[in-house]
Amino acid sequence: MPRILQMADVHLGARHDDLGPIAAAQRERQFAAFARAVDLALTEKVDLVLICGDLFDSNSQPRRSVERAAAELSKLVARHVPVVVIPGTHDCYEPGSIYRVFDLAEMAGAAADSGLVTVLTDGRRQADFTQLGVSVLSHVFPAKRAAESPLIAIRGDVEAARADGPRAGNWLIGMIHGSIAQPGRFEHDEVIVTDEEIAQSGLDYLALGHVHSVRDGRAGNVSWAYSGAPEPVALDQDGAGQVLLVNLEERDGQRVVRVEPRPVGKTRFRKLEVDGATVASQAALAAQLRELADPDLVLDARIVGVRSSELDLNTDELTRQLEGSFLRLRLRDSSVVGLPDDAAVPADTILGALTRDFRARIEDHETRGDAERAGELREALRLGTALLDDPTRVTLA
Amino acid sequence: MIITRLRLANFRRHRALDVKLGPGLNVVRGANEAGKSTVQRAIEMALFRRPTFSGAELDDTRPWQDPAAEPVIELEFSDEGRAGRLHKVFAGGKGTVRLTLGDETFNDPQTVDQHVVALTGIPSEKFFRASASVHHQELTGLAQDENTLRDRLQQSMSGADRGTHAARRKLEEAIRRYRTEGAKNPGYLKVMRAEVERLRDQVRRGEMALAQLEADRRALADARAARTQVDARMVEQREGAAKAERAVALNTKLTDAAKRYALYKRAAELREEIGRLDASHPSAVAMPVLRSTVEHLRKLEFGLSEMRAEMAAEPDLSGYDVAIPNPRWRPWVIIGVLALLGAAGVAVAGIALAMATTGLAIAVALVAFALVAFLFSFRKRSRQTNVRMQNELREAEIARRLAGRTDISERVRQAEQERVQGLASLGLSELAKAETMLAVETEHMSKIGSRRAEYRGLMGDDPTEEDVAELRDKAAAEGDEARHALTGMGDLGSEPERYLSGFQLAITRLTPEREAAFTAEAQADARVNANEIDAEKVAADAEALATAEETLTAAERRLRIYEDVLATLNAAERGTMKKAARFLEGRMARDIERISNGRYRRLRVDEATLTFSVHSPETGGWIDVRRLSQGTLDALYLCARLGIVRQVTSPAAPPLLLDDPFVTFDEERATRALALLKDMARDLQVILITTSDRYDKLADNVVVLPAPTERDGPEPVAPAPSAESMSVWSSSALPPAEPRPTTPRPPIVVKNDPGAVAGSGNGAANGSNPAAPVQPAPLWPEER
Repeated sequence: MPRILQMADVHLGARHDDLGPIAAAQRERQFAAFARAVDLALTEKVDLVLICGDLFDSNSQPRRSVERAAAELSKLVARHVPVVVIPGTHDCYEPGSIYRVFDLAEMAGAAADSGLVTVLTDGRRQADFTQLGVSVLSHVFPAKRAAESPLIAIRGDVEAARADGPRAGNWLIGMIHGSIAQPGRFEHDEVIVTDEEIAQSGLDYLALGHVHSVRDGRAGNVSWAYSGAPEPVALDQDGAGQVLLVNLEERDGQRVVRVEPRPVGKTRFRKLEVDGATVASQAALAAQLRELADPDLVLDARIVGVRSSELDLNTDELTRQLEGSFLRLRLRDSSVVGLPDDAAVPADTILGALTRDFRARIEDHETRGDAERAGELREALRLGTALLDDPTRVTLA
Repeated sequence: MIITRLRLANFRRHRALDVKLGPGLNVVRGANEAGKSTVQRAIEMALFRRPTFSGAELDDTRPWQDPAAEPVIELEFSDEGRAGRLHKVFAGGKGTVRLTLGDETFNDPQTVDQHVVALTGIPSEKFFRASASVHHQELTGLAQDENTLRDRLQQSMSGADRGTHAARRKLEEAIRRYRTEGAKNPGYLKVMRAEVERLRDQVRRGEMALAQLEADRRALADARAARTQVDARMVEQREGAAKAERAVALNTKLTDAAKRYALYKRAAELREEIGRLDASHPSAVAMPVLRSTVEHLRKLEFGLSEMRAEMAAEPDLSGYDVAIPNPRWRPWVIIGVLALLGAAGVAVAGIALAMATTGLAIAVALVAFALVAFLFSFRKRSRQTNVRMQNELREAEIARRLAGRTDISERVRQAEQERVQGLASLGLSELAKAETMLAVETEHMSKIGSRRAEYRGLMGDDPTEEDVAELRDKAAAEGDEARHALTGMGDLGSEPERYLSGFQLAITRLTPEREAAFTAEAQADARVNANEIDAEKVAADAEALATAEETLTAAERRLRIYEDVLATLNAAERGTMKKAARFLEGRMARDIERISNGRYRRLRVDEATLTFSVHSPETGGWIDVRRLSQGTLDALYLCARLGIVRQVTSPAAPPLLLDDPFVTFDEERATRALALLKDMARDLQVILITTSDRYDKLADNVVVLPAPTERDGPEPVAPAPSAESMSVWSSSALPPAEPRPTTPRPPIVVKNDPGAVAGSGNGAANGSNPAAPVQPAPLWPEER
């Protein structure tokens, strides 16, 4: 029975504005994950590889990137493992599409009529693999936003394939880069299909891309799955880092699709919120974070809540201290500084006047809902207090 | 708040100390190194230090020889009729606190802190040290510069122990580092903004180049599609043209086949006719034989007719009997020779006779005559030859005519015989019939010849060996084949030339279009390749920009905070100093009068500089207090200091703790200062720590600390305890007489048995007796 490796959303050349100095390294990690996915296809001896869109992060990627990707695909070509690619929403099939400018098949060393590298487009909507008994169908629109549901657009092709004598018994696999509609979600996505359309598609399996985390399900008799991104592309993609091995089997005359996620990505993202009230000192916070140390982890840590006005926290310094413990540590202090106890500040002192002034302004801004300015003033109050307490112990960056 | 008892254990040099204090002026007296400053530090820490503090300072509070000991401080106090006890054990993270206030007990450090603030009106240890706890150096150098007095007083009202000056300087320096706009040393903000602008510009240019790249790629894809389309059209036209060319060829083939068919058809007809003619000759003999036979017969007939005519007549000899005279030529030769000889003789004679001229003329005439004679003789000789030949011919003819009649008869007979044989060979009876036969045969042969000529004209001189009928049929088949093929081509087959020219015209028109498409594609490809923008480089720039913007935002936020603090601090300072100035002017008017023994009665405080001026009734002007005597200045500072304490701690009443501030004063000055202090602090507890006993007489309570028996730090040799100290200090744990070890001692275990530690505490006495010894104190076993 045919075995397929499904991947999507590699996003080669992606921008990572929030990763700072390791952004370039992360792009390399994304490529390495793509290469591992290709290697996995070879070691697992799959019969077919599907790349469900957004192989590239944009249509302006340089020739060099396309050549690198094609070089990986050439490994599959050399072993006669066919690959089917569809454009996505980032590398969409618009007039200047990377798939129009570059001949991926030729660059991967696949002869034009070999069918080893096929890019499905608005002009070519189907790839048949007779020996495998598999037909892959898609409907790619020549624009980022689909004019209609691609499942409606390929319905005629599916019916034709089912009615076609030699192909009638083939496994029919759809490839779509888009979202499955959910009430209140994905309503404005460029390409949307519905559960009902999937159920009525007549396909045996729908391979999906666009969602960066692994997800699978069933609509009617049709199985569908998102492979997610082989390597996470952004902070909130905790289900990414995998590809899918899709097994097409027949049991008791019934067609069964079995999906196995396989890890290929290494980068892990984690968001961490630390309650400022629980942070006793900068050293204690450093120790707490050091327990999570992992060279493949991008840790986005945020100190929230109210922290003691006596806690002197230098996040830049702490980030520097922990550099090397993580792939990337982003430490942000979103906590507000606790206000000093009125009783602890004699009213007729300069500190008392300073505290009173800041308090009034903080309350004013908080009443007006300007939390950011109020936060600044809280920080200013903390700094003023510390400076009056002992300026020699305060370092102003 | 009145501290009534202070107990220490394992606190610096005090293994155990129990001091009783009371309201009013308490003098805690001891020799140097007796631990007086430790008492002051202990009270500060008991009130304000969290029991969990740790680090080097904690180590500093332990007895040096017992680094594992846990310092314990306990204060008993009364406050507005309530008794209280504050007990702290300093054990790092395990430190504990317990506050008993009336019937309530508190163990939470934060709650305890809040109660202490309420009891003292002082929020922190530092503020305590800046206000109610006066150290001995504070009264020195007050007049050294114009800022000292202000700075020290300002410390008391700043809420901190260092005033605002350092804080402000630090803020101003930081703000300057951010705000500097100079080109040589630009501030942080300028550098960061420039960097952000640079990156923004770089990213903007990168994005534009990427947009251009996408446009170029779009143009390339369009150009490629256009070229592919033109290619497809060209292929279509070329295929059409090729088809049309095939049709034209078929048409040609069809025409050719038709021509060949007609040719071979005629040739076949001719061959058939020639065959028929060949088989139907009129003559039985071949034409050459017939013709030669007839011609021979004609000659025979002619000869016969001539011979018969000759035979029919006699021979005619007329004309042949006339002899022709033979001319003579020799006489004329002789005449000529004689003339020549005569000429020669004349000539010789003339010469000989000297008549040469005449002789010569005659000789010439004779020569000429001789020449004429010779010419005449030559002509005669020629005529003689001709006459002889004619005569010979005449003779021969006459002979022939006379002798030939018999021969002619014979020849006639032979000729007639030959004629019979000739006619017999032709199967004819007479020459006329032979002549007719020859004519008929000649015509027949002519007909065959014309057919053959036509055949040769059709087939050439070397006509094919193949059967022309077969060739005809083959041409017909080829023609049918071509016709059917053309029919299959539809309209194109019916007018191939027209279609071919149409296709060729289209190709001609498409060729420049296709070349233009190729050029456009090549140019678009060149534009794409010429755009060296790298999306990953732009991505890196954008990422760097995001980081730079984040850094700039953080810096701007930080700067706003610094400026907020500075502005607010300045405003707070102005307001506070103004209020303090007015407060001090009101409060200290009476004090200044007393300090100056009535000399000055009015005081003015500058709210900006906190400088004091007194009004001199003598001069009617204001005098800066720093121009007054040192004693007056000290007293004034004390008044101001205490006034500020009252102002900032009101309504609370913290104990006033003084570490020998008058140590440098002479006896009288010190006594006056203390009397003033006591007077000013009527409603405050004053604890004066000193080495001198000169204040004992003014004190409400005197505590004498024992002389030192050990030091806070290692010393090779401990001083021997005095007899007095021995009377008030004894410790079972640290026997006074024991020599000080040169190496740290092992930790001393504080036992629970009161008896075991009974001697470890010092004694204190309340009441009027100023020098009552301190009593041994237990170490609160229930609290360990």
